[in-house]
Amino acid sequence: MSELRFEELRGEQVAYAIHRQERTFLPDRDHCPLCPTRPGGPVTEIPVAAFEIAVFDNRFPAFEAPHGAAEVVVYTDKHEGSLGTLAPERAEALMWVWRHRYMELGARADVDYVFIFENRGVEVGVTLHHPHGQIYGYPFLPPVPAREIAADERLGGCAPCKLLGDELADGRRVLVETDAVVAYVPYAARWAYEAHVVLRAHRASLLHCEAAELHALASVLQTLVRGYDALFERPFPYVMAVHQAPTGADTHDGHLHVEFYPPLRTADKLKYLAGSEQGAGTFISDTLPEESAAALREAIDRAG
Amino acid sequence: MASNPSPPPAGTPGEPSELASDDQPVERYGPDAIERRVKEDGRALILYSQLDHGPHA
Repeated sequence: MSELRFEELRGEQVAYAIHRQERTFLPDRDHCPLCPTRPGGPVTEIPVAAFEIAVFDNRFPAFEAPHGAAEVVVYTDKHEGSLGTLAPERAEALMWVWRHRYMELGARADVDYVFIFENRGVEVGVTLHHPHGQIYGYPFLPPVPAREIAADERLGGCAPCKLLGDELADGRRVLVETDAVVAYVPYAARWAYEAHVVLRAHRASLLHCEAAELHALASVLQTLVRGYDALFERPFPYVMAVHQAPTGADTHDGHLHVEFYPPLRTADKLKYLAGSEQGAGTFISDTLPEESAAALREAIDRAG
Repeated sequence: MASNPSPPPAGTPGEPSELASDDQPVERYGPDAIERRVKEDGRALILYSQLDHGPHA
């Protein structure tokens, strides 16, 4: 069972989940808990011979009922691959699974915010290589979505709508455009190759999307991830964060978008969160977003 | 700012909500798309299948 403590100086919650120290750490392929259970092999988290997409309660949850939720979303029963290399129809199906989980977890009284995310690469702390993501159902509104609500109030309307309009008008940082979805490096990107994937229409959540929008979202996410991998010709680590409307009783609007925070600033150098970032909350970047966007566009073209 | 979205109806913590019934699974794919299991230790497992055969597949 986790414990929440409120850190008064920063005004934010800290979750203590000490049982997570024991979680499975980078097992070899034969002991991957996210693979299907093979005849004669160890029983895995998914005791069937084959599956498409599987979701299960995290064995080492940061949050659990009646104080939230922690789920694992396994994209495929194939051990190798990534979000970028899934068959397009599987990536689209993943959007529908995300949508379903948002609907179910968001309907729970103990979940105020449904957070779908993926950690990719040991650089961001991945402990299992099998293609998968996670979902946390927070029993409170976390600080980052709270700041997005504050941005709406500061800008006098939907912040992602305004920022998307600004990016399209400028054009220098736009990476991918479809009729429904746009990917760009934000004007004030904190990470060297940060990217935001935003629905053109104001959609509060996956539940508010048309089928064609989910199709486009999957396609752009895959295009971006393949471009990332082509940039330095190596699997590109990132944290992927899906931001949607909160689901608690104190509801606010939102605008569905997906943010990527890649820690690499060159092919072999990581950006560390050091004194200014951790102690003062101000990112110092070595890279201009316009230059990163140009490099990413070229990599996306190269990846095809 | 656009109007607030209708929040999903509140459910009982840890219990499937009304929306979680097998009558309304991953809307587009029909009730056969979801198989719910409970692991020996009580954790939930959901297998989503027939997902690769939608209109855009």
